Amino acid sequence: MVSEIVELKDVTKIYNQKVSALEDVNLKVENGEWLTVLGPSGSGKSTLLNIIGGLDRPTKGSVIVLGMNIAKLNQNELAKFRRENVGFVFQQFHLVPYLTATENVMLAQYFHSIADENEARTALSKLGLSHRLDHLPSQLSIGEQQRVCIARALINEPKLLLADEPTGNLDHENEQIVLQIFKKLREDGLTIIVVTHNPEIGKLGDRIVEIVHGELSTNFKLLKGG
Amino acid sequence: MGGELRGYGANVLLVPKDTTLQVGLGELSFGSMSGEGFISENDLIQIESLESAEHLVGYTPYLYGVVDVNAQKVVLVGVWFDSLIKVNPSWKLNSPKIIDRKDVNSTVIGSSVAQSFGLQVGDSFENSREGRTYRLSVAGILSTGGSEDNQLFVSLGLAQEITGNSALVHTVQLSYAVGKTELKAVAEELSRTIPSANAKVITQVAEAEESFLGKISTVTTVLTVGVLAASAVAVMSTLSTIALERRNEIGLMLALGASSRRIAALFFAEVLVIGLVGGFVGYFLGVGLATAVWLRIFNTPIFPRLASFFVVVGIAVGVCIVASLLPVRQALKVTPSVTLRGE
Repeated sequence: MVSEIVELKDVTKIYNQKVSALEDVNLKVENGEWLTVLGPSGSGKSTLLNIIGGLDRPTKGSVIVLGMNIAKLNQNELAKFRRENVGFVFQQFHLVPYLTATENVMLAQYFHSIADENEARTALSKLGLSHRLDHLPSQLSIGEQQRVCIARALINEPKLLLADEPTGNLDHENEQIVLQIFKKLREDGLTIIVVTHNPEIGKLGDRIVEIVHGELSTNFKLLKGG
Repeated sequence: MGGELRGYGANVLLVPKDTTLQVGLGELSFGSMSGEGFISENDLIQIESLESAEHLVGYTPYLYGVVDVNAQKVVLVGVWFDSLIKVNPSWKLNSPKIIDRKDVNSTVIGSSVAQSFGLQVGDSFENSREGRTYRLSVAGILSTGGSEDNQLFVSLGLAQEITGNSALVHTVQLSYAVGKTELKAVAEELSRTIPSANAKVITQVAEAEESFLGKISTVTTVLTVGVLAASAVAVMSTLSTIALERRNEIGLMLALGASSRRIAALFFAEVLVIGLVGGFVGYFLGVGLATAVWLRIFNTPIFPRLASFFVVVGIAVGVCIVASLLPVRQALKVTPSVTLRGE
């Protein structure tokens, strides 16, 4: 296992040849580390996460994840990389409205290998949703929807969990539930990158970096491991 | 469609071979004399063993005679009852059941005869010829708008007994579901095979059929192409809308690692189901509508073929697949990072 699971070298992202979202970003993330990327809206932190997760490509620079320069992969190779290595947790959850909680989790299994209903139900039950397995997203609370999203992200046992404002839509109680789940995942050795504008979340992780106007701040704060 | 057009009636007629005899002595000619011609009923069995029999819709012999009914002369026609309507499906026969061709007690009378003698289905009456009397029960009343309305139809066997022409017929009407060109070959084959008869194509019927078929074919071809084009545009527009509405979903699938091929397969599977259901429903609606129209206009039913079901469903699926190519291509252009941001 490589010790650095993510390494960004001089990564720049320019949209429409004029809007610069990232500028010469260099970043390393250790295997099993929880990194928090802090920054205000529009600072480029989601772009950074998308590039690490292979949802977007850099305009310049290399993105080495698990030893692969994913900036050079084609669409199908990137899709394979995502389904085998990355789990995404979104602020808006992005659950399919006409599928039940279990089916939403099985959707990720379907694209990865074989959909296994029992496995999906177990994953949801572990996150405290055993009573909501057959409910549609519209029948779930906001916190429950986010937990379904987390179960979907974890069902294929990814090596890297990427979370974009995972608590952005949650109340304090649900925020704590989600953060405790992340803490447990960190203890189990999963590499987690969370982008947020909430500095409190950073305190639970190993390291915080700040991003301002597309540039990583060198003045980031190093915290004790979780 | 040719089969349905057989509602026009017989398109081949068997007539007796020329019975005209030259009368003379040595080089002296007294002119010619002709007698009444017949076809042997026993020869008719060969019609069904010929190669052309696979296109044969039906055939019936005719033996004519004249009988007295209430002191009035009426034309008597011996036929095979069960084949009569097969050959002439547009004729309106008011009869509770199909009469057996060997039934010598029943008669079908023309509508004018029924009116003249005040007869109804179920009534009995007598007819006579050369001193012999026959009692018949009216099993049906026939209305054709032609000379048949003035005739009295009985089984061929009875007509042969009444007229004293055992095992003989005057003519045979045949109906084949083929075009004009093929009809000529059928007639030649019949003439060669049946020694006592000459076969003639009823040209007017054959030409009318061919002309009608040609026009109908052109109209249906134009209509079909138009409907298919309109369907393709409708499917394309519907799928484009679906693809647009599902941008977020497609973005999510891509984020979860779905390959473009897998997403395309999902779309095509959906399109396949739409095509199959559309083709299935469309086929039965179309057949129902066509039957209703055909019955109303030509008074004959249509006979849907199993093969046309598969052709219709196949075309429906094909149109859907072709029409979905562009929308599916559009759907695959989705950038997950953009759509998941809600842009």
